Amino acid sequence: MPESTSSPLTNCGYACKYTPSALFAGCGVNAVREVCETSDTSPADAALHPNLCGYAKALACSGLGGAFDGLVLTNCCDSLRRCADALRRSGSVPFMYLIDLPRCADECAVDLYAAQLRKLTRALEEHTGRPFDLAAAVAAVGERPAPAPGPYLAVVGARLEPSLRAAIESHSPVPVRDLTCMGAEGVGPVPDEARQSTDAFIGWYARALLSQESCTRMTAGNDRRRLALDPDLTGVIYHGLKFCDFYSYDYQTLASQVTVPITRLETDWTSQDSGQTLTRIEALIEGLGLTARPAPASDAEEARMDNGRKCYFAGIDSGSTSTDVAIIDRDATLVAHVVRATGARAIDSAEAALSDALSQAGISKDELAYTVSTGYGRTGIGIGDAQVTEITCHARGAHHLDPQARTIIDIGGQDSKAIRMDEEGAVVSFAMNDKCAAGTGRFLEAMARILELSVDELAQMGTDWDEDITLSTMCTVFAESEVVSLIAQNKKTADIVHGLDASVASKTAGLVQRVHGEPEYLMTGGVAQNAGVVAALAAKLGSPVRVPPDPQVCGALGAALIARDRVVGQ
Amino acid sequence: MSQIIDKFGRLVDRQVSTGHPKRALRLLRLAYASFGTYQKHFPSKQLAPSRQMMATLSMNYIRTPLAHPERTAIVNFFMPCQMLHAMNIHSQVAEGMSCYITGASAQQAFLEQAGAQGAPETLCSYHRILTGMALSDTLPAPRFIANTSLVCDANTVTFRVLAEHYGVPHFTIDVPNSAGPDELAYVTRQMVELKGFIEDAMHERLDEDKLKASMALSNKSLATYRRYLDLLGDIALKNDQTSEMYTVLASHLMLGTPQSDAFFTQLEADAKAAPRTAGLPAGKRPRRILWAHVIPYYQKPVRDFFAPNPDGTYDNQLLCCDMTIDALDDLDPERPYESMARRLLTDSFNGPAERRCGRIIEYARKLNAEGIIYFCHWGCRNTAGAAPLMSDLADGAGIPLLVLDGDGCDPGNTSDGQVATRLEAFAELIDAQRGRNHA
Repeated sequence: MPESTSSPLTNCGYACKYTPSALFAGCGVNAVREVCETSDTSPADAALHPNLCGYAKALACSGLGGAFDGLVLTNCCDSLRRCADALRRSGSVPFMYLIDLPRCADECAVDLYAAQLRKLTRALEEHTGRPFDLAAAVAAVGERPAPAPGPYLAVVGARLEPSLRAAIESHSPVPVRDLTCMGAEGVGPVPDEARQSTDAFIGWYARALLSQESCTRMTAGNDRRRLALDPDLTGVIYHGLKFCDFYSYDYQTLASQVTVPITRLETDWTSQDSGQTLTRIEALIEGLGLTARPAPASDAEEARMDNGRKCYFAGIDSGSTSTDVAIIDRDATLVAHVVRATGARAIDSAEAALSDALSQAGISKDELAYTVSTGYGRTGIGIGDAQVTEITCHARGAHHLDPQARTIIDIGGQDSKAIRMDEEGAVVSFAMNDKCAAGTGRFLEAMARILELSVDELAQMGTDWDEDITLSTMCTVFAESEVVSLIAQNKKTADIVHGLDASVASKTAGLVQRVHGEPEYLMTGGVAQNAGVVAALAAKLGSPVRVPPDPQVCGALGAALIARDRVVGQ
Repeated sequence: MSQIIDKFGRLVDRQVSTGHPKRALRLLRLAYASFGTYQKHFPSKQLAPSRQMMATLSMNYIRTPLAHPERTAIVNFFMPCQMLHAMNIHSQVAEGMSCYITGASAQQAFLEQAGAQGAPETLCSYHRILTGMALSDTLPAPRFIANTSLVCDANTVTFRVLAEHYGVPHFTIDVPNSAGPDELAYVTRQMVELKGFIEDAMHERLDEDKLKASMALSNKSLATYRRYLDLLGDIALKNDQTSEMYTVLASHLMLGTPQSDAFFTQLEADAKAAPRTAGLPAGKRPRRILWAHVIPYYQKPVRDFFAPNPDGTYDNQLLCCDMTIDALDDLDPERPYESMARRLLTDSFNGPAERRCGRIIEYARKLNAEGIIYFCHWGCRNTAGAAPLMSDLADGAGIPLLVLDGDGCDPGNTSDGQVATRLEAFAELIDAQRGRNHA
């Protein structure tokens, strides 16, 4: 129920597609779909709690900041229900209204929702002092726009931050259809019989709203079969919003139904995770095979190779911890590989690593026919003829190193990933960890510091254990206190290290399961040099985990191989 | 003992991870049977007779559905179970089952299993453990699933996933936020539909007289519990975190059974026999704590906080958990479906946060609580999002409040050291308040 005041109500926000926003127009109020992006959620953290969905927090921040004359929310989730409580209590939104949205669309639910709509209409009339105008409400009922025919990329799942939607659209070579919970609105046109009276309109409107394509919050769930069978569907980005429970298992269902590439993208609505997000978007789009692929070697490419003078190819993997450069010759033989710490400036370390690699190979920069950069810094370093994500590069490199490999497990400094490949080395599916450092090289570095070991010592110690210690937590912060407590109990350091290795293995095995990983497993990345983690992972997966002689070269080598592919063909 | 339990947990973990869920279930059933026998013959002497009795009853409540899945319904915590009692159907609940799994230190494999099937780490741990048990086929398929939408989002996804996995009938009672006549009619109709659903699933008819009897027994138990709460404001009666979670079972899922009624009857008798707080020497009066939301009973600093001293005295008296005072009104045996619907709608956990937080303050005053611990269980947005309101109301009432973040059943989401510091600091804060009150 609203706290009525006599303040003017010109614009009224809403946040759910089931909101009867046309009723606002019936009382002379503009309906505004609120998107509310913010990078500072501290006011909401204080008024609610940090562990709420980022959208609800952004909405609360705007409301607390006095951005809304009015706001109509549905009780669609726990976060928004509490957001409504907090805003009502603060008094910062003059017209704050919460509608009870039923979870199904049967006759009783329609009756209940119609009753809710009548109550809202009365509240709007009272607040604005204007009587309800049926014609204005009917005119405000939107129609769902017909999608453009032809191939498209579907974005499915939880509501999408506008900047993220823009990033997807700018990278996608085909039109993007936003099929998220707030993607496509519109229940019109209004039939003649519903235009006869306010009561008839509200009855029709309640039914039409509840009959929209179901959001997973509704008891009916979401039938994805129609989407899965659409021949124009070329790929799916499944968006999950941290702390939104509804769009979780639904991804697995859809992934098992579609035959096109699909990836899960999780964000927290703060626009702070764009690096990792961008990697996933680009990798998916690469996987669709819709990017402009170079033709096999042609006269023009021979010209690019300057009639044989330029016959080397470089790959630069600019990672968070290290920058790797690989140089190969025309026969794909590795002629140089350099690893340098990335340090504070990725561009400097990339240039230095490339220079070192050229020296190692005994060639000049002019002899490079094509250079591909990859890794987090791939666009920032501004070096290279093309940028390709580390997902595609790792797959290419791993397939070259070990053609039997079907699942790559890569654990780097700040992220870990599992990539499943087909027999030709094409990416079938991949999964990456979220923003949290759990299960990555950073986690092990932090634990090494507490145990007063170097990272190398930690890597060697994990195979020499006696007691099978289980760490209950994967969180770096909590694990620190748990390790300190194990030290206090005089547990053997090697046993603690094994416990840490097992916890990393457990987290990583979860990623492998998400991509339906299968042997042979190949582990790459810096953590592959940690024998304890490799052994724990093999035990967890119940299958050997192979490690190439130089596991850190994989990404850069893959980039170099792609550079070569682009000039001379595969 | 804890090392043995840890080893047992790893053994279960191994069975689940290596694809032997039936072996895992056999191990769990054996462990619960053994521990149940131990509890029955060697109850904790430090606890009141009612608490000893309830430990055994709770163990039976958890074990029985594992042995008789064909007469079991998976339900959620707020589901009114009188219809099930009237038809001799057992109920299995996420919060109860998951607590017992963590009690056996066997939660890890199930959490991982749920994660691998798409459960996000931000989802309620009770639901993740239950889901992991189901998807690994450790938890036997029930006859049907019936849940309410009250009081968390996880209900919507968990029970749908379980029903799809098992291929069993599923019914959800949608509970609106407000409690007016329209909403009452809406939920009442669903309760009537639920009756038909259960009859279809079981191929049995519900005997309305038995339902009325269960409703009447519920009223008797609720009246006894209200009288106990009237006494509790002035007495010092030992309680601990695990026992209070058993009371949560007795006041909800087991409400309307002779077992639950026997417990409440004994609880009132224990209260009558307990010493009055005012009669205790000033230095021996335990701090009176009201706990809001679930209790992480497994966590050492929480156990230590409510544990008795070597001389049998105790420093902190756990008065009650707010999950036992959420719905205390009588039911109407003559209008069973409407009154079960009303109980759901008027539950203090439903509706705006003010209703629940107001109830906590009301009972903190009634029970002379010296402090409130408001526990934000990981994944429970309903509770977490109301913490600032709770803080304001407690400030206004002059009652010290500790907002404690943690997890009711997953040790991986919390830290013993952090919880210990907070609890100890809160005790110091209450002592300082006592000093000011006496100055």
